[in-house]
Amino acid sequence: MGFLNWLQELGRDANPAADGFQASMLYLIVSVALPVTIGMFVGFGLRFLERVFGVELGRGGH
Amino acid sequence: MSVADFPISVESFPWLVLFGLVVGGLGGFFGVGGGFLMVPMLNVVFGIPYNIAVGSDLGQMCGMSTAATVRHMRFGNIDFKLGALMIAGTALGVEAGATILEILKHSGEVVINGRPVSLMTLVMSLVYAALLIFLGTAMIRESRSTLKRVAGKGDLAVAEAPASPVVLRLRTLKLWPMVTLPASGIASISLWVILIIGFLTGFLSGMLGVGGGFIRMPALVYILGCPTVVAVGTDLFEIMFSSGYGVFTHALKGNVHLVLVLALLVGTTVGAQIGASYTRKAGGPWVRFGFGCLAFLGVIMVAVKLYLQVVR
Repeated sequence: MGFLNWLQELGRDANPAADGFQASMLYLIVSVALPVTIGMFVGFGLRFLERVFGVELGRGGH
Repeated sequence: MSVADFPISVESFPWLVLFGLVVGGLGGFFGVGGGFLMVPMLNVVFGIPYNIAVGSDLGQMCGMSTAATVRHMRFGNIDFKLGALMIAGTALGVEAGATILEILKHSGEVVINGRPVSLMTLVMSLVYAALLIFLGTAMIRESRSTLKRVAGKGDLAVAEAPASPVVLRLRTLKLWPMVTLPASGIASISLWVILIIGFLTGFLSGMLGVGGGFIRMPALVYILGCPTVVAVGTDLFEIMFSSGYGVFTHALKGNVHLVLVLALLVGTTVGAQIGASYTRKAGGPWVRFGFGCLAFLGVIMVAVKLYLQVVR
């Protein structure tokens, strides 16, 4: 749960109600990098697995 | 109130993953971001405030579209040149739409059921619902007649939508500069047609406050004449950039709940892979038929959102 707690705490820094609010640089970077990294990881990871096992998911006959 | 005030419980994690799997599957298959379904559900079922639901949904949309783009790229379903040109037109359109929206925000309120409802929200919701009903009806009718036409004698992947005379004239307009889009099978088309369609879909998306996939995908198929599978892949490629920009601007306002984004991404990225894998297999007419049905689900979600505003 360490990573989840770290993500939760990163959000605590970004308190829009606070005076002079400015989102932390790390929070901004993680907000964009997290989805892109996971998307790339799953996308290319599945391609890699398909190559290793010689199968192709839903290629279709068209 | 910050995102940390809404911790995601361990019990809700599997539900978020499952919900993400369904939305990601629909997104990867139809080329939409799924915000129309995700945002109201996060708000109503999980009690996430609307601004945080929108910011976090854009985060999952960015990851989902990235995963789906990788998948569609493998099958050659993306026209990168068309996607890049559309992004330019869409960006200008979104800015123009958002500016008009800012002006309309001062249009006042109406009282329904004893509760004040923003006139702008009411008008925009009705316009969006009308647009979805029109698109849904037209796509279901067209795809059904195409399916009947090709029944037992044709390849579904090449059974594309017929074009009206106005659309054909638009496609053959000789206005310099002309571009070639080999991936979409378009030999020559005016750059201005692509930019104007991008601008108009972006304008509607900026004004209606929606992702735009619902408008852009049919526009690519019916106006530009893209094969349906290429329209789906190219739309997801565009969503990857627009949602990436969206999540950044929402992060600046502290609206992105990172734990929520992570929970949703586990489901949506896997769902998107499965959905994207079956777009080509299903064939153009079935994708268009399903998209038409999905548009009606969008109408129901708009109605639910309006109803909750009136009764809450």
